[in-house]
Amino acid sequence: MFAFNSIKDLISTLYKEREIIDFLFSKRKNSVKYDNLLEFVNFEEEKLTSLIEKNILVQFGSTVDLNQDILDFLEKFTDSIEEINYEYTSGLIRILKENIQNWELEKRPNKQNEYLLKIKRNIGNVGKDVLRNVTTLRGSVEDVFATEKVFSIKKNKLQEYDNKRKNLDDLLEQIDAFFRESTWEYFIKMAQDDELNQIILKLDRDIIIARQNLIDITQKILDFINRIRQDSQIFKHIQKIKLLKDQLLLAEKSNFIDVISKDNSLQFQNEIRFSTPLSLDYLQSEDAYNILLRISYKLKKSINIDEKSSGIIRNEFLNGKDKNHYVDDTNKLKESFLSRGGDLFDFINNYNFEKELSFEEKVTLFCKLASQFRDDFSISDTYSKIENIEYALITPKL
Amino acid sequence: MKGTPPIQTSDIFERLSKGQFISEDSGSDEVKDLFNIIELEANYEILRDYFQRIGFILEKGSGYYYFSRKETNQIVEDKVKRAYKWIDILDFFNTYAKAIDEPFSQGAIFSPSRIFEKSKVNSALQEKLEALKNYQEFATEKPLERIQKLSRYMVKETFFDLTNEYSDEFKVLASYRYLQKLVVSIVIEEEEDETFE
Repeated sequence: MFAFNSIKDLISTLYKEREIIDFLFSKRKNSVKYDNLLEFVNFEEEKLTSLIEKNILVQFGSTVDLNQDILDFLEKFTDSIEEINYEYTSGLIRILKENIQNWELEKRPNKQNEYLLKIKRNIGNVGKDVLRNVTTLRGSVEDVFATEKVFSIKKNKLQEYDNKRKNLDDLLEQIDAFFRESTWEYFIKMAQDDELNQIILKLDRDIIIARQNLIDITQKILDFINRIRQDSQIFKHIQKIKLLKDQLLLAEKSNFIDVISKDNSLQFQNEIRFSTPLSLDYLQSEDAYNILLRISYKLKKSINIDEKSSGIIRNEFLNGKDKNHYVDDTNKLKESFLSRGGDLFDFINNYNFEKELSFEEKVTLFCKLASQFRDDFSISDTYSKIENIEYALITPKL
Repeated sequence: MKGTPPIQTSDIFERLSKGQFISEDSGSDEVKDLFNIIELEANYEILRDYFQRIGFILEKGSGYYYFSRKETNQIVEDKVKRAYKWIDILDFFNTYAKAIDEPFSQGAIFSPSRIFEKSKVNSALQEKLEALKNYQEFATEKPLERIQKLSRYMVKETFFDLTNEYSDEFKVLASYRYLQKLVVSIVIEEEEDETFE
């Protein structure tokens, strides 16, 4: 039951008794005797009993503890998590063994109970510590995966977390082993304590949760470390392949051709293009009709040019000019040259064209024929001269 | 067939038949959706059967899908040319990875300007960057532009994503593993120091 009038009341009580709370918090791993606390309350015993009544302190026999909830709150808030390492694990097992031994040797019930309390407290804290370490570890690992961009830092941090994970694994192993020892089994049987059984059950549950979480974390870290190894393997292999390729030895010294012959992925193929004719049935449908309308509208729009009437064409433009452009039939010329024989330029010069050609036009025609029917002519090395032009003698090929 | 192909089948076909990859970590929501559709329940088997009937094999990689065809009339010389190009590209990015001591594979983020900066102080990288000039796709006298062309080419081939156009940042996608796997599957004969690491 909440023994205070308000939160304000609770906080001011905590503040008033801050000395004793601070002391108990710092000694939370050991047991503190009731008598040792009296000096913090100026030996006014009623203050101490009132704190116990208000459930801020909890009394076990002759020892006093902070309420677990307050302890949890303070630990969480100050982030003072017991780090699980080799010392933690070996220390815990050692203390447990010591206390069990003392419990067995002690014959006075009062004293015996005290050792039992110590054992309960030792075990009770383990589950909490383990879970908290696992939670922090999980958080850190996820954090590194999400935020750490520098690869080498990421690698180092994950290796560090991997060590922490090993420590946790180690602790769980040792607790398991310890619980299977005959000393422990004997102790449980002899103690016959309900609360102890509850604590053990809870620890078992905590360990199962911790194990599940650890497996997950391990998987994550291992995946990452494996990937690094894999990457470095790939890296080395690519280097070797590249070297062989540059030495032009790749096909010879490896199964390269075999590999690429077997790989039929589209990456290795020319792009496939599909072209299909229009479906005539579709063109008849309503949908197509709308599309056709749209297209015809677009087409009209693009062709639709504002028509302006142009002025009257004056007569002088319509008269006199020869509309046809005269084009020589080179084929016909060639045939008649081949049958006539002689020198090509001479032939062109004296040919009776339908239209009178200028000297320049005749030269052009000569070049045109010479290049177009090179294979049918034989071009000699002797040159002839007409007007101011020197030309090679060209005769039909024999 | 165990069921009907999903309605996105034609979208899937359209991408894959262009020789593109559908990667789980693509920056495009559309591609990511298609990936999830293929992954969904029995869809992979259904689609595989379906595409097989029209001559395409839906291939599954770790985190990506692509098409292959049973028989092709692609001549080996063409394939050799393409494979050579992939080897050169992989080797180039590998050299960069070594220069910055970070892996260059799925998830890696880089920008051409950073590679260019690195190439100024790393002669191996510079040499390889220079050699890329021989490929028509990346042919330019300016080295930085060459890396940009290369990166954009890889985006076009769906191995990279352009994640930030302003800072010119690219991300390596799952499909890049296809290239790595391809090269790794080439076994070198008579290798004495086969042991990695």
